[in-house]
Amino acid sequence: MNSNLDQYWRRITCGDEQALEKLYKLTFPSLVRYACSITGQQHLAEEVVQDVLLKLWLNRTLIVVQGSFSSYLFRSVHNYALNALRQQKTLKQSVNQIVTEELWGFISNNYDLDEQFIDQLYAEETGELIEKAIEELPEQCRHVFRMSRFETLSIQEIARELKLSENTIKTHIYRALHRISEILGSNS
Amino acid sequence: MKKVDLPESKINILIVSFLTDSIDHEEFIYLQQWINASAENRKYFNNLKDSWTLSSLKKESASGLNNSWLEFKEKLDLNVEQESKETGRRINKPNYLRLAASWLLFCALGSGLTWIISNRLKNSVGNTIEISVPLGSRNSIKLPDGTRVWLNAGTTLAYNENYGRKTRTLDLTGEAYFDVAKDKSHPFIVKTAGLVVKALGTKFNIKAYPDEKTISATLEEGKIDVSLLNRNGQTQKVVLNPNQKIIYFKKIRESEIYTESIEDKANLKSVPDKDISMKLKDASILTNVQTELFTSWKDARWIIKGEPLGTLAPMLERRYNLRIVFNEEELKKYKFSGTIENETVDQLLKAMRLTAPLDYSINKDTIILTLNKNYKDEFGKIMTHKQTN
Repeated sequence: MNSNLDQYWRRITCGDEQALEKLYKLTFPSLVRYACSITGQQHLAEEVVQDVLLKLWLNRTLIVVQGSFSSYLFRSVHNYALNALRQQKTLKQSVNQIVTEELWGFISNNYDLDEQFIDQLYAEETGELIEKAIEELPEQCRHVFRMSRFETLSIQEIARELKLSENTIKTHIYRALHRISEILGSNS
Repeated sequence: MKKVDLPESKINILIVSFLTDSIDHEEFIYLQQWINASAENRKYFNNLKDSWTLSSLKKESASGLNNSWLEFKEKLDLNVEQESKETGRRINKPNYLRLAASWLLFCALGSGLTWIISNRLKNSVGNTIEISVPLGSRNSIKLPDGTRVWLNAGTTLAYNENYGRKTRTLDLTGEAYFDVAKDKSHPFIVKTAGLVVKALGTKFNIKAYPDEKTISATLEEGKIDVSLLNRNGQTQKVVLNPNQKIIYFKKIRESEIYTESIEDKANLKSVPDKDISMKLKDASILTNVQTELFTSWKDARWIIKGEPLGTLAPMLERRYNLRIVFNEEELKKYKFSGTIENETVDQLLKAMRLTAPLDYSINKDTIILTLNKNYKDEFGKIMTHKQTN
């Protein structure tokens, strides 16, 4: 996948708009997913990724990419997402709102981007593996994880609905994540 | 599926709280401290965080994605329209800088390069003009004040709208040669990642590639003030005279020890002591430098003298936009002298084969160099013979 992207980039630098479209459709979902992990907001994430791809196109003859193009893409999205987060006043949906400046500093210092992670972000199997991992979770654990991740309910809401403590909810989510990271780790 | 008993530690809960946006300030501080405490902790955190990110299974429908693309295309077309409107407006404004920018547009410089000046980088403070030269080319431009700049392959030069108002400041990544127009009232300043050079009316070369361990400045004519950031974080100032060159060792990470080997890489060992006029902790200044060795890359004839293949290779990689791979490390020690004009890579390698026991194979844009053991001894004899003469 990565080598394909380098090819698309080469064609883009020559002004090939079709290559841009192909690149867009191929990478947009993964890039947004990543941007969202930083900004916490889907809409903002989409804006960030579109901004990155727009700038890429407009400055295509000026940009010199050293190393793999896909890392370049991710690093750009990473930086833009951080800036976008910084410009926001508060973090939405926080139970206790953390000062965004602090959060920004935390993310920029601790979010590491490595090749393996980038590859996984793109790979088709990743989604399948994760789906499988979730299926194999014990029932309540799976239920809680789905509610949190896919129905995007807050911890409070889930606790209320299932009549469990918040701590229990969080523990279930932890177990699910642990299982997922095991499956992904053993697959690389 | 095996059931694993997982320890319900406080940290796991904290991490989940962070990921699900349900962490309070105190807990956040605690989590930060825990993560910063060790590389393992950090890795542990990243592992869970990555799984969280990857598990966001928003399977984009084909139509959803298509709509997103169409929305994007609209932004694209709008932006291109916007730019052409603005360039039209700009040429009417009698602004020194903008006139110069449009001058550059028309000056399609001879080596088949396409030049476009980006006048508006999104999200930037004020208007920045950035000029880049891709690998495999070189070019020269004239700045608004008449200063001439030659840019080597893989170089980017950036300057602000305010250029010339109080100072003439530029940001450089890569290699450039400057022929600075005299203007006492506006100091000419070039910034690189570690070295800042100030000049009045001079001719000098700066080499500041991001992937190299050193930054160097060579003065041909005039005088330059060089400021560098030393390992203690303080600024040190040095003045260079003509035929002097300063080699600055970029910030070394804590875990690396400053040893002779770094000098090796900067090729200082071959310089006689009398020509090293100053050895600061973070930089070395050489005098009696044959400046054309470091500046002729910009001319039709690039002169090389006694350059080890190890340091010559990256220069060739940039000039020809290809990759050079060494099969044997010892090949890097062989030195080359000569002039390069318009040779093809193949001609160049053939010439190099006359003075070093190397074999090469070209595969698309990668060159693989291997040591020819049969000739190695022959060359060894010739070399020692030369040296004793």
